[in-house]
Order: sequence, then structure tokens, then C-alpha cells
Amino acid sequence: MNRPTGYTDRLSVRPADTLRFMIGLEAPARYDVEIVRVQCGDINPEGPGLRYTRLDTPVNGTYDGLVQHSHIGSWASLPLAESTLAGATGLATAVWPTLVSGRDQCLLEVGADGVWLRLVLDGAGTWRLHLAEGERLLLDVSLAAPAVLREWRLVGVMIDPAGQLGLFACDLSGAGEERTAPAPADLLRRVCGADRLALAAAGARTAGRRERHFNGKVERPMVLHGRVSHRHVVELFRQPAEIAAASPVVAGLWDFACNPAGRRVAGLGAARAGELHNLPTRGMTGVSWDGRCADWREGPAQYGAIHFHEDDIADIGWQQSFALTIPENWSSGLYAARLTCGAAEDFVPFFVRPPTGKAANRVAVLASTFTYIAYANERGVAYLRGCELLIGRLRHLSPLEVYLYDHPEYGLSLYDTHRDGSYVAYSSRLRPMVNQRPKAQTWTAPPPSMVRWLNQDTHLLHWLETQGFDYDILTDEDLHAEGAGLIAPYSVVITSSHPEYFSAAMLDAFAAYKAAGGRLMYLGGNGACWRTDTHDEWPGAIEVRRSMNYTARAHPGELHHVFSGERGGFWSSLGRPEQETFGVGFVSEGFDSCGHFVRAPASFEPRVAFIFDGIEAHEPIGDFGFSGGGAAGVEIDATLGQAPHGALLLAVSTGLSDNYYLGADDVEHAQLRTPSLNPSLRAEMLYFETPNDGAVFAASSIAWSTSLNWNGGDNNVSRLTANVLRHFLRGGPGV
Amino acid sequence: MNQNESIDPAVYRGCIEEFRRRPIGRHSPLLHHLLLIMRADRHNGRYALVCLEPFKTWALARFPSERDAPLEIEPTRFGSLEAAEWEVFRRRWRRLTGEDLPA
Repeated sequence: MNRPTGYTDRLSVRPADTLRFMIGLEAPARYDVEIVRVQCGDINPEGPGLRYTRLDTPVNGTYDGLVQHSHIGSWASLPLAESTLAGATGLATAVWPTLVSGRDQCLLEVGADGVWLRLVLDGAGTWRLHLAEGERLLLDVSLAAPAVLREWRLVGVMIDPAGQLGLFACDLSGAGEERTAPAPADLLRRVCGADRLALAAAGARTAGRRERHFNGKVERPMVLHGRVSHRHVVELFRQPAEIAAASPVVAGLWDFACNPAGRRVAGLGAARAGELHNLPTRGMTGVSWDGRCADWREGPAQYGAIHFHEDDIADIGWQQSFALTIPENWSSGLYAARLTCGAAEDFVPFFVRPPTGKAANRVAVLASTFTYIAYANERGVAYLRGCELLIGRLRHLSPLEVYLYDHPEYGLSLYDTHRDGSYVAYSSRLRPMVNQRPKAQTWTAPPPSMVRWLNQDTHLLHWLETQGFDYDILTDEDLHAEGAGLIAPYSVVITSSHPEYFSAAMLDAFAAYKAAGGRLMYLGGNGACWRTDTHDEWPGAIEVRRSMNYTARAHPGELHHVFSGERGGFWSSLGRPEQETFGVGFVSEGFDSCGHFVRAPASFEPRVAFIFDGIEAHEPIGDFGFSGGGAAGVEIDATLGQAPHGALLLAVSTGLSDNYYLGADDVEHAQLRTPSLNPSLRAEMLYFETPNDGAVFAASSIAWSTSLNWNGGDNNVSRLTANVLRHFLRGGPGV
Repeated sequence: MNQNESIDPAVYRGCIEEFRRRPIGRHSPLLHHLLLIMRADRHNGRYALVCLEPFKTWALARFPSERDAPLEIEPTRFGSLEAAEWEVFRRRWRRLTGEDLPA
């Protein structure tokens, strides 16, 4: 099957905006496009089923499909002042390699006029110096000692244009090895005509492409004048960058410690400002890091390293296939380009928000685009150790996950580790996010539907539409960029099933909305959990550094985001617990089956009678559903002693299996890590009032929304949710 | 009991039928304990379930030890998640106890 897929340049657009689509196939072929409005993406035959409405647009039609080239792997382009390399020259850098991959990895490349000099870590872990003319290898010098992984070394190249090349590697005492070999002087002179170095990748035969990406940390590449001893090179690395740059033997150097957020790296002397490609990890501990500093802002000199990976992606760089100008008369909602090629089908989703400054409806649904980006192309089913224990059933690959497994070039999620085992700190939407679309099933979603994230959230959209509630859709990115003013006009804001990734600006926006009388329906679990940041120079990307998690945990010295300078981690560990926003916070997760809710005593208080209108006192709530057979589960929240003043505990979960495990550290008897041993591991449905006639309802369970449409929407999860929504619409802002 | 190599079948035999009836979901403490042993990486055989046709057809596969190497999919087809879970349980029981369970 020749599956088409793709992505858009944005996830959130307004009427009259033009949206660009980048579409690729596995083999050249014609494919068809139609634009659709999506109502439900869950293909479970027992549920609402796949539902969308075809729209007539100018882009509907048949196209010639390409096999797009995926730009994956980070690298740096480091320009030099004119004629810097003329004369006897050395290139040296500190390096902390992380992978012997079976393939050549190019640490440093310099060349001009068809001649290339490359410092390579070969497939067996040996440092080599290659001189090549075009694709023809002319000289291959290697060191005898293998490279040492995850230890700092200095490596370098000595170029004597009179006809000699040298390769060296030494440790931080200067002890090491050097090899020299004669080389054609005319070729070396051509190499020395180069006006830039490439760091962490080699040029490919096709212009504009890169290959042989390097995996590991690199610090302070330097261009040296004349012949310099190993010990002298070591001394230069021990000096502050400005002092080293002033040395008469240093022509120039790049200081990666400066301004680590952006695309540029600072050059000193003859080294000009360089440019980073595909988002290597910055703010990384370097040669001089000694554990006395845990924040790159306080001790930037200790954070002079950049970690390059062969599987970094900021922008996969596909060519545009078509562009759609959003019609003025489209209502806000979830849309997609439906792509078909024979029997293969894909949906490339996007959200249409209302026109600027206009709330078209009184209900806003906040699509968790930061969560979708964080989980984009999540591959734990293949890579994560212990994942069968995590989910309490066999690892399951949906057809889409098999496709993803066959396409590593679509990159990683924030839950994966890089090929070299290091943590993933960034995820970008400028690539096919093939698990964030209608029809997607995923291994951590309980049977039968196995839906999470964007596709699960179509259950909410289907329910709103079939129950007759009009809504606008906004996204995390919109709220992050525009703040409280974006949601201020709405009487009710409804969250998605898993609004997990929050920036400080989003927390502030919710706080302001609630203080102004806004009414919030938190129809999910594990919300407002991880600090998330963006950066203008890396559009589409988010940064998350985790202090704790079952996977992808950041080095303890590297927890400060470079995008913002702020410390990463659980918001609860940063002093703004989830309870501040939703009244509840993450307590447990399990992925095999779900339980249901039973009413708690406070649910019978008159002021919450509206919530339970039509629901009996002892009626199980949500003992059905398309996720694990219940409305309570997957990831669940509790007050954990931090409930807001006056909050009422409405209902608690029961029936969770012991494959749910403790996810919070502030739980009583935390040694007892499963629900049958520890009653604190439960979902707590909560209600509380906020100033100015505001209120918050928290379902506290990811699985809640996958029960809404059970039995055609005639069920007590649907009834309870509608009771809350109708009541909230009777007051609040926007009336 | 040596958890690295084998288990005493007499301890766990009573929960085999519980698993066969309901392989996914809440289990008795003893069955939960047995499944923790079976599902640990050192014992689980790198099994995965590959969905060939959603809600209809599955096959068992083994993950290769090398990252991104092709999946090894077995020829047998299953009509439910539960049937495949039972097949893998039987294989793991045999590996841990030396005993065969009926299909």
C-alpha cells in the first residue's frame, strides 16, 4: 500500500488565512485530495464511527505525488572570515560522542571546489580523517585507539598546505595520539579555500541535503594558526572563550554557551556567527561542568555544549503540494485534508478558529495542540523497556504504528529516546504527526477503541454536535500566544481529554479567566502537568525537560529550558500544581482497562444538584465506554489534599486494575503503589466555585470523553456532562 | 522460586483459568503477580500484537533486538486480542514451568 501523508505549516488557522500542505508518498503516484470537516475519527464499529463532511474547495482534486526528502538530523553551518584557512591551520573541538552506529558519522567537514576533508567517527568507533574529491576517497588516516563514548575528548585536524595532514585525539590531560600522512598540496590548498565548516553532518550528493549526521555533544570548535601541541589545545579549552579567542594561535572559535535559545551560535575572531539546523539540544553540560551549577543562566561557561542527533527534526522540509485559503463562511472546528491513493488513506488535520477577535459561540473547546506535538510519532511500543508491564497487556501495534515503525525519518516524540539513548527535549509539528489524526489508534489507549489525543478528542466534538451545543475551537498555541484575552469572551471553556502540556502563559490565562467569572470544564486527566515552552526562531517546536518520568528524563544539570530560561519539569514541582488550575492533579495511570465513578456524599449537596439531575443516588456513572469499558481511567487525577477552598468531591472511581500505578509523589503511603493497596489511587470528580460567578467542573479522567457517545449518547456520562454545560451556559462571561 | 528462570507451577496453577476467561483487566493478586513475572522484559520474549485489520485480525510478532530492524510477524492469525493473549500466556507458562497448556 502506498500511503500518502503530510502536514501543514500551521495547526490553527482563521478564515481568510492561507494554509500550506506538504504531502508525500512512499512511491511516486497520483493521489486524491478532498477537504473535510471532521466530526468523529474513531473507527470502532461499535461507536459513532468515522464521520466527516466533504467540502467543496479549490484544492480538491488529483495530484502527482512525490516521495519527499525528509530532512532529519541536526547540524551546524559555521562560516569563516575570508582566507581564514590559508596558511598552516588546525581545527579542533571538544567532543563527547554517544553512539557507534555501524555507519560513518561526520563530526567536522571542510571543503571547497569539490574537495572535502572530513573528520569522521566510523561505523566501528574509530576516528578517521578522510580527504575526498567528489565521492572518491583519496586519503584515509585513522587513529589506533577507539573513541570513548560519553567522555570528553579533544579531537582535531592539522592541515599543512605544503602537503601534510594530521589527525589527533587526546584527553583533558593532553595525553593522546596523533597520526600524520602526506597529502597532495594542490588538494589541500583547495580545501583551505573553504569559507565555512559544517559541524555534525556531511554534505550529500544532492545539493541542500545532509547525511552522515553525528551523535554526541560538541563544544567550542576552534580554528588554529600554525601547529599547536595537544597540551596547548587543552589549555585553550580550559580558558574562558574570550581569553582563548585572544590567543595568538587561535584564528577564531564558536562559543555555544552564548544565547542558547536560538538558531545562531556566536563566533569570535575569524569565526562568524553560525547557524543551527534541525534543533540540536542546547544548554548542555560541557567540558567544565562540575555539578556546582544546575542552571545555564548562572554558569553559562559550564553549558558550552550542543548535543547533535541524527534523529533531530525542527522542520522536515517537504515541498509544498497545495495551499488552501480558508473560506470566510467556515465555522470553527476540526478539518482535514483527506488523502487517498488506491486503498490507502490519511487525514492531515487542522483547526479553524473563529475570525480575529470574534467569538462565534459561547463555548470554546481548547484543542491540546501542545499535547499532540509532545506525543507526535510516539514510538514507545517499539523502544520503551518494560512497556508490557506499563500497559498490562501485550504491546499492540495498529496499522498506523506499523507504518510509523517503518518510517523512522518522521522523527521522535517527547516520550522517546534518541538513537544514542539520550533524552528528547524538543518536538516539532513541521513533519507528519502520523498518530495525531482521525483513524489513529495507539498502544497506550485501552481497547476496544484504542484512541488517544487528537483522535480521542473527536469524541467530544461528536458529542457536542449531536447534543446540539455549538462551539468554537481554539488551540494551545493560540492561548499561549494570545493569553487570557483569547478565552475571555466565552461563557464556558472545555478542555480536551489530555491537556498535559502547559506554558506559564497558559496557566496565567486560565487563572485570569477563572478570576473573571469564567466557567471551566476539565473533561480530561493529567492536565497542566509539564512546563512547556516555545521559541520564535523555532516555529512549530516545543521544549520540555523532564525531571522525572518513566522515559526521556533530562540530565539533572540540564533541566532549564533554553527557550525560556525557566526550569523544566512537573508544574507541581515548580510551585504551580495542577490543582491551582483544575482543582485536581495527576495521581495514577493505567492502560489496560477502566473503572467507573460512584457518587460521593458531597454530591448530594443542594448546590450541585444540577449536576446529578436525572442520575440516581447509587447509579454507577460511566460503567461503559470505548476506552477500557469505563469512564474512569487511563490517566486520572485527585485533589491530593490540595483542593481549592469550598470544593466538593462529587464522585470517585472504582474498579481500577492493579496495572494502574502511582504517578504522584505526594500521596499518603506512597510505598503502596496500586489501587487495591492504596485507596488514594483513584479519580476524584470535583466541583468548585470561583470569584465573579465562575466555576470549575473536573472529570479527572482521560477516559471520560470516550464514554460520552456510548449508546448513541444516551447514558449518564453524557447526561452529567450536559447538565454541567447547560448550567454553566446560564451564567458566566459572554452572556 | 527463582524468578530469573522458572516458577513453581503449583503456586500459580489456580489462576490459569482466571486469565483464560479474562486476560485483560482486573485480576486477583496471585494472577497479577504471575503476569508481572511473565511481562518483565527478561521473560516476555519481545512479543507484540500486530493489528492487520482493525477490530478483526491480529498476528503475533517479535521485536528485533536492533532498533528499527524489520518486525518478525508470525503466520498465525487471531480474531481477538484475548485469543492472542492466551497464546502468549501458554508460551510463557511453558517457558517458566516446562508444562504445556491446552490451546
